[in-house]
Amino acid sequence: MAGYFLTMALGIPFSGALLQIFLPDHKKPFALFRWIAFFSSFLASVIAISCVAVMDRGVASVQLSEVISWVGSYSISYDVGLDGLNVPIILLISIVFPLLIIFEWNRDRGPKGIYGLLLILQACFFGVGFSQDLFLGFFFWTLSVFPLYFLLAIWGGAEREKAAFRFLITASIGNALFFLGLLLVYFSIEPHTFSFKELLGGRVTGTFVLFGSEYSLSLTAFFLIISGLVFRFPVWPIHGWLTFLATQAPASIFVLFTGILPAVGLYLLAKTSFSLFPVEFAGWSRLVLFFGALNVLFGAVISLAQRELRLLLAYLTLAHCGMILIGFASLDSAGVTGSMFQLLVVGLSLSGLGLFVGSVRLRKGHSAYLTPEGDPVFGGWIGTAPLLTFIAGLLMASVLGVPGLGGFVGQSLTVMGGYTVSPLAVIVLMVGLLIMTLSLFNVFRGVFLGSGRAQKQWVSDLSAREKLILFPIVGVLLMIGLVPKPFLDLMRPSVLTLLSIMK
Amino acid sequence: MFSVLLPEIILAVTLAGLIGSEMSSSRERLRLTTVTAFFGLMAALIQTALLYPQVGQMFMGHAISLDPIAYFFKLLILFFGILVVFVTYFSNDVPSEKRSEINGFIVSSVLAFSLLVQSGDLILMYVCLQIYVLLCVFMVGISDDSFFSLESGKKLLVMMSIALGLFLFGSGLLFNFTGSLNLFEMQRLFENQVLTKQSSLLIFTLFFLAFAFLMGSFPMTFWMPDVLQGAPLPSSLFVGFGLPIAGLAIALRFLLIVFSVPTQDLGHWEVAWAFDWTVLLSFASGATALMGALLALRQTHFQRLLGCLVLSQVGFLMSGLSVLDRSGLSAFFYSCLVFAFSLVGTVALTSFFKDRIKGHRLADWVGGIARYRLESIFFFFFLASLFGLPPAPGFMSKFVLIDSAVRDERFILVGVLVFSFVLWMVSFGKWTFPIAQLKIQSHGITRSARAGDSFQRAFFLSLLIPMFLLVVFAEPVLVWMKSGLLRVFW
Repeated sequence: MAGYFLTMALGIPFSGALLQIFLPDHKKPFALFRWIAFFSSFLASVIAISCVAVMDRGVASVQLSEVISWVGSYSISYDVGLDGLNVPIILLISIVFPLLIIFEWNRDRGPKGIYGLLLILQACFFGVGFSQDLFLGFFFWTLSVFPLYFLLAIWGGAEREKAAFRFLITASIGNALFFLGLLLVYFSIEPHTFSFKELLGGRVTGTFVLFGSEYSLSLTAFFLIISGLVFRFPVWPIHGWLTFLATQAPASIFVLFTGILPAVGLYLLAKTSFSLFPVEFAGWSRLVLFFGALNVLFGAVISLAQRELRLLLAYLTLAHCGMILIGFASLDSAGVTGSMFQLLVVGLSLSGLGLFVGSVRLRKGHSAYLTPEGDPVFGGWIGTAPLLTFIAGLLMASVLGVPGLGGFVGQSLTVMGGYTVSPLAVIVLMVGLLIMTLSLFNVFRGVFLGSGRAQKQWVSDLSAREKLILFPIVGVLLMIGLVPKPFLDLMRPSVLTLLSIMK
Repeated sequence: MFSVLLPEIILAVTLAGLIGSEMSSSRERLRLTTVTAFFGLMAALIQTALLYPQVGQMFMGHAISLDPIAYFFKLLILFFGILVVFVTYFSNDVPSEKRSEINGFIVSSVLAFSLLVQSGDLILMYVCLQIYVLLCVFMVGISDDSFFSLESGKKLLVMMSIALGLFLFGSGLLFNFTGSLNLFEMQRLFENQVLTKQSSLLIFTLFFLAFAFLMGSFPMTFWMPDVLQGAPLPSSLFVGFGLPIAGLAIALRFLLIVFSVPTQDLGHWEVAWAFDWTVLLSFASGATALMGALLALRQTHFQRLLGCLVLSQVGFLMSGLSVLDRSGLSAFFYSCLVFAFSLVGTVALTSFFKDRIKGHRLADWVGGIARYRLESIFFFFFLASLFGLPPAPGFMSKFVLIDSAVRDERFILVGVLVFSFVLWMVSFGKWTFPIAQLKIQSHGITRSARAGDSFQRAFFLSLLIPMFLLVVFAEPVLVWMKSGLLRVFW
């Protein structure tokens, strides 16, 4: 039994989702399906967090490993485990998903559907995170497209069909590219394998011939996999799907696209690049750095022009993805560790902000904080909703890397690591951060402090349910900001091992 | 000898029983027809399963060969026939007074198919094929009060006549060059004597076109969506699977026995003739898969979509044939199994929705999930399997087929197949979007629509079991198929 905790964390949300199909539609608020959905998600999260808690610090190898041969003749195995790299996203998923179910507690339109899809998605993302087999990871990664698609297509805004299709098309292209890359990796190695353990250290070599020309297998596979992933999380210039769907997605679904999906995608990028293509990634790290810096600047500058909170967050997501890419491309232990840490911090902060925007929409019916003329729509909320103001302020501070919060640790490490490789990229990053500070300050001033005609609007403060959702997020951000060492100790050995292989 | 043909004898007796019940009173006929067909097919299936120790033997001077390929296809069509009988029972597409007829056609088609896949003799093969396609034509045109059904039947008759003509012409040429009608004798003759490039090209082209007409593969893709749209749903199901699979089964026989030879390297074949026909097969495979996927994007009629999906499946299955090794072929067999269950599930649920909403267009199905939650989720799953999306077994089957193409270094084919995969994901989104809406359309599904009965739900659930097993136990299935191939050819 002791060996199957990760499988339990994967299986419980799936079972919870299956139960949703068969449970009767009772009237709220004591509906059984709500509690089953919550407990499935919560139990899976508790198991996953417990697994992380019992991990040995200072060990780079995969822990709590479970390996079962699935399709042996194709070397596909159900191989799951925990290492330093996947810890941040496992924690992120474990924390956010139960909160999303609480956020959707009073959903009256198709609640069982939304819970079922959220549970499937939680299992899919756990699957991607736990997976130590490239095929298994791809399986869950591809599977995650459909819950996301249905969530958006069913519960989205007026243009949900268009938004969902945009996402589906880009995701399909991304998956196809990933799949081609995966096949090339598989066939370039004898004996054929999908196991990360066996693929570790740049074993992908050789060439292949297409239309009479010879191409490097490893480089082609590297670009296919990286481009495949880039289609799934917002990176300039393939970010239009996110900014469009941001205006159509309800809060919980918006959080999935801005808080969780980019983190999981970036984790996969790091995992595949460092494990499978160390030479190629090192050779092309300048390009990654360039795109990272460009994203930071682009996201930050465009966020300044937004008048809608969801769009602003979508562009902040873009900027933060760029920042994490800079950390990865630094190939420095501080930079890479900082970026891995940032996956958790940015995921939590943006999830918290996304849910805050959901609370704004619940109160006011929209989330446009500026009029087309640039005048504040809201204002003066600090007077009537001090707790909401405080929590939102903390979340914004975390996004901006204010000391005492998780963002500070992650961003400092990223900057330190990045500076050793490209001071210019770090300067761009800092400029981007300044612009983001201005954007978020505008939001804070416009919504909470208020000015002009909209000042001192009455809004209710955080409800008990909102406290239950936002307090854990802020609590974790404070905890990892004040005591980051246990988390960094978990990640550092894996990062150092991969970087040493690379070098 | 007698025991080998016992399943066919059982089917013939069942057919006689069905004809007998057709002649009895109306009430008796309706009551017995499904049960008779079911038990007849089930008995034949059990008897075929019991023939396992005799697999690999030949009878009647090599005219009948119960090799693993024939054995696999016999089991497959018998199981498929049973499922079609159930779909027919549940469907309102076939009038109740026609149910006896269609069950008779199903049983007789299974009988013809069963003999067809075992035949090693060109004449026997031709006769079985002729009977088989005629039965398919009757099945398609069974609704004599429906213009579309009759039109589809006529179209299929024309196409199949051309296919049979080409097949007969090719067989005649083969006989002319070899002096034999037996495929296994031809194989021995070709070991010593090689045809000229022109002759081999001509013969291969004739057979290739005959099979292309039969399977609806490129360049003869056009009939499949039309026929499947016009026919009643159970007929669409049988024809949509039965004809392509018959074409693929005979094509496999020709490709492995006549057009290629087993090599010293265990589990591999090499092209026996003067030109490499695998390139042509790869091209047709990619073009069929792509065309099906592209056409699927534009459809608004569910049965037409099924036609496009069948085309795409045929394209994928052909890619397994073009790779002349046991990995490719085991992938092909595995995919045939997945295709069968996925198609039955999809059509059974299409029939379910069609009967309740009296509409078969995309716009009519809006809000399906709000009224039929369980059935809608099942439908998504089966459709996902046909489209080759995870976690359905279709994903695994597409993977093993693409994998075999990569092993054979057919990178362009791989690119085309993966591109088809992208198009399928988009099509899946398009087709599931209306059903997944929570708002019920006034002109589509209504809240008062008849709910699914528990027997029907049990049938849908029972279809999920093999799907689940095919995902979890993909490895044993693939290994069993690989070893089966080795038993007959090496």
